[in-house]
Amino acid sequence: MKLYVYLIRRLLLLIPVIIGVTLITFYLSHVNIGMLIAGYEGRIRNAQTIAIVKRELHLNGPIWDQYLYYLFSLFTGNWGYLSPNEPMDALTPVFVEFQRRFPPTAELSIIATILVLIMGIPLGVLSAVKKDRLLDQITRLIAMAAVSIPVFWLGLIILMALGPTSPIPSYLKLIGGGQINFLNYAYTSKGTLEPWASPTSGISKPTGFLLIDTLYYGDYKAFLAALYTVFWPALVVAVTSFGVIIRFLRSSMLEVLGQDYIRTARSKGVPESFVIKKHARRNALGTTTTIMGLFFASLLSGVVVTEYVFNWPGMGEWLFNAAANADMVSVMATTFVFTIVIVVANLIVDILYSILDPRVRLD
Amino acid sequence: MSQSDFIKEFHSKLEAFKKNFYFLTRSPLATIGLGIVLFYILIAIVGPIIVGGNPLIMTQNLKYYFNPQPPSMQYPFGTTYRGYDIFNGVIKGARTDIGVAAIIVLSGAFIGTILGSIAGYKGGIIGETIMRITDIFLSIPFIVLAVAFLLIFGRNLITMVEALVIIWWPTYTRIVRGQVLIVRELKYVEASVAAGSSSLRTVIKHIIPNSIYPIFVQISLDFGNVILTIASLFYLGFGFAGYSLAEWGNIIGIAASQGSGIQTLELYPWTIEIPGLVILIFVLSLNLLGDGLRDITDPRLRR
Amino acid sequence: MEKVLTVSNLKTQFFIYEGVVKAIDDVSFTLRKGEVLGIVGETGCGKSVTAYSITRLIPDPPGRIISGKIMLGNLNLLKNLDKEAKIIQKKRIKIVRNRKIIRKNDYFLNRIRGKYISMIFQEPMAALNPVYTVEDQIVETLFLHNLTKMLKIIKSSSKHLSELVKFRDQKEISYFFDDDVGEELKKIVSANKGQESILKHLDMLIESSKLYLKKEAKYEKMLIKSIENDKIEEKLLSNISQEEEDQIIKILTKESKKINLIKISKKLKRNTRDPLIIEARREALFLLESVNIPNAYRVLKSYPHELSGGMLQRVVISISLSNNPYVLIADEPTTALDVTVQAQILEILKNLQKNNKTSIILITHDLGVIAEMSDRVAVMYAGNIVESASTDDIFHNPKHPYTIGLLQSIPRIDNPDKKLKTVPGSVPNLINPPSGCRFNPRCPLAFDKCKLEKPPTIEVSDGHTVACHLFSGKEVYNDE
Repeated sequence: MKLYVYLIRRLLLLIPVIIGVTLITFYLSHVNIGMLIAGYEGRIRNAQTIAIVKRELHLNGPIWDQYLYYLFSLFTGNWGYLSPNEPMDALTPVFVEFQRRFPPTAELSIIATILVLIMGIPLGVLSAVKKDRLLDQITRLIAMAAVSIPVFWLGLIILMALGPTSPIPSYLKLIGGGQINFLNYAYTSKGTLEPWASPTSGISKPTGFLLIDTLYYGDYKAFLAALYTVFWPALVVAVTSFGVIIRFLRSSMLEVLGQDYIRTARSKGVPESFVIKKHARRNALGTTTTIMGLFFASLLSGVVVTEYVFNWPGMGEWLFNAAANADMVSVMATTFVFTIVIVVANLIVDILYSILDPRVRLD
Repeated sequence: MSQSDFIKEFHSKLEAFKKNFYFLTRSPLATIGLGIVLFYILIAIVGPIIVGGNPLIMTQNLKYYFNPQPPSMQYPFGTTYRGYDIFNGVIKGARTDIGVAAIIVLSGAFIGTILGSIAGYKGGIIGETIMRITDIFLSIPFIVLAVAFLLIFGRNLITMVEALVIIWWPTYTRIVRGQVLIVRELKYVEASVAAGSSSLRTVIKHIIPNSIYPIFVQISLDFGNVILTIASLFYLGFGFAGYSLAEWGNIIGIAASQGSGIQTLELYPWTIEIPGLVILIFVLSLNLLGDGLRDITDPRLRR
Repeated sequence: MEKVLTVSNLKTQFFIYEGVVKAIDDVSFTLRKGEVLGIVGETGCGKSVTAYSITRLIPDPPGRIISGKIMLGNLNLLKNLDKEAKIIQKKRIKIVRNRKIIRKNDYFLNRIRGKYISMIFQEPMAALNPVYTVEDQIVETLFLHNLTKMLKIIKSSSKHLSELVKFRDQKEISYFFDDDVGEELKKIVSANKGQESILKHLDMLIESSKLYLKKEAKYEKMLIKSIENDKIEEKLLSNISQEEEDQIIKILTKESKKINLIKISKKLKRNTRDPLIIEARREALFLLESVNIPNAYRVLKSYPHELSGGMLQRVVISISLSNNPYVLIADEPTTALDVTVQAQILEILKNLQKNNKTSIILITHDLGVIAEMSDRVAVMYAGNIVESASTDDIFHNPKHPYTIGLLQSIPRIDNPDKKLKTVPGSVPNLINPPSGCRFNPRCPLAFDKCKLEKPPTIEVSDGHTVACHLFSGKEVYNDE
């Protein structure tokens, strides 16, 4: 069928999944009403406030009413408020915090994914082509070792390697006032990230993406520094995730290489490198898209923990701090966003697959 | 089945098992993996008995209360903050981690298999719904779901097990359903149904045995991931039972939370490196084993 | 008639865990120009392996050609065989491969495959890459082997551009030029596929000419290089010394690396500014038309899964024809198709033989197809050719007990017997084949010598050979 018909069908199928997700987040958030209410008014708890919140959230009504209200507020951005630091402080809406937190996580995830693809695809193909030879065994071992490393542990080790007391030359370090030789931009000794844009410097961050913002201002030095800063946490995520890709691509390639059309290509006199690059790889990549959903889920898991270790100001750090403070609203918000992101990622991957493999459009 | 039929079938299954085991040992990596896994399991069973003391609680030496001590004769892996003996913790933690992980993985596999069989065999709306639910659960990153769950339902052993089982059953549903769809089309299953065997019997007799191998492979791979997740949760502070619980991730968590993470690493690297290595080696061995299993059961990879 | 392909003492084995499968055990046969040789036998007798051995498509682990000669004209396709790998027999058999030499041989073989020897296979539905259109896959072959021809056609058609435009406007080709494009036009007209097709051809010739003229110098250079390479390649198939052969292979290897990488990667982008691609597409159109595919233009743009089995098999045949090979090896080409489609495919093959003088090796287990198509037949059993003769002789005068058994087992309507005759027993295990003659366990006429000694191949009458001890004492058949 035509490509756009397939697209529309896929988009329609998206709806029940999203509804399912909202049902789950609804259930989770409403199971413990006390927490829910606390989240909404920032811990100001007395009978009156509770009553107000209850009415607002339609908590006195029937369950489907509550759900509808929940849906409505979810999609209009009314996600509640963060607990303030002082009782008299102004309340920050959760949605605003989300806008602040989303870009760093997105940035980290995207760079990590790029790294995974750059590292994983060639290794996966290589592993299949040199099956059972030394290179294959080494690659598989690397892939398995990589997948076995606890994310937080690797993060800590990397931080230590980049820290002030490690033997690496100082221009490679990030910590403790160690300067990257072109910019004063580093992790502080507490491990927090000092942004080059801050309220005092007068530079605002238009998109929130370090890499894009630095380019926006044409500040190439800062861009390089930002690249360097994103690289290490992204590497941690990439290393712990790319084993899956290698393994899957390898088995996918092996299956493809056993197919008849590969034999036909060889009998036509197509040189082996082209058999692999042109005929086999494209088919193998196509089937790899089927596990992409799972892959993203585990990638985001890694991102979330890495953020915690590196104090990266993204949604992962937000999630953990919120959970430690019993801040239901934030936890629910982040959960919902993560899930929607993966669902959308799945959709994109499906579309990519249908472009790569024309047979898929038939269904 | 008569007595002799049963014995015959048992023998043939045993032969198949022996053959598979032999092939497994031909791959050096898989054999190493198997060996190390068995070693860890041994430690988990007898270790705490040998080392003594409450199997769930790490022993403390209050003399060295706050500063971690490097490895020495008395403390083979050194101590961490609050005087906990790391070696002690690692040994006892083996039982904790492996035990809890086993419960989680097996429960998840069990539930997932049942749901997968239903989804595959019955098909239709029930099947579709189950698969959609599976999709939804697979769309939530593991840690996020676990954290949310623990936050809401409290943090203790039961909730942690529940949370992780919820995370892990969908994979099995997918696998089993896929297998059911394949096996259902096999001619001998069709013949069996045509000969009048009921659905339940067909499922048990034909479909489950054929699906066993992928499930085994997945279990050995999931085992490692579950342990990593449990360790991560403890490290992040979402564990339970305080500092003294003997659990690998918890040991790292103590070290990371007491100092500021990086400084602890610089001053007392063994407090983080050693427990981390312990986890790494075990999970790696599980993966090697799982990979080896996958290789011998995958019909496409002829040798 | 001249010999096109001579296989001598071919031995192919597979080294798997359970042991060594001695799949092909000293096979020799000759293929003459314009002849159809049918290879017939049960499943597992080694007919496909023979075919793959000729084109060296045996998967290298686990298989390996152990020894033998395969002469294509004056060229031994199995030269350097012993330099490629050494088989060491210790506790377990270990094969040490010299990958550099294997790779060099591979480059060289890729010039042969698809150009001088083509293959078509059994399952047409799986034979083509599902993610590329039919067109792309035909164009790929043309780029690999037909560069010179295409360049010549474009060059000459660019010289006659104005006349081609005139033809287009008049909607007919009033006369033919005396050069490459003229020949092309003659072919198109005599193929007689309708006016729409002629117009399409003209359109594409015009377009490619225009694009050629834009970068004439570049393509001129390409043409010269290509002709040079062709000449070098031709030399390979004539009588030259060993050193010269090695030298040529070295040059060709270098050249094929250059040509393939540049041309084919260019083609990967849907680059319609390249006159070569347009010409390749035009030729693809012609090829499809010549195997009687209706709506050829639409089929070109289709994906393999959109076409039927019979259609796909015709596409595959047209691909294998694209370079006018000396030998076409057809491995069970009709087994997966219905009988009516089968007849069409066989007719196409028959025409090939008649018109192009292509020699065909037709592998099948269907004796009916053999009877209809082959000039000569070779009967294979368990990795050996047990009997080989003209089709007439095989059917009317079979000598080998296996052949006789095969022929007797064909069900006949006029047979008064109620029971179907079979050859009792089953195909032997090739890891531990029976000693002596591999057929002896199932042979009704076996005697002591059969278990002890492998029977030599004996010529019992002109062109008719049998490998059976029953005929010992007559002259031993020699290959020269």
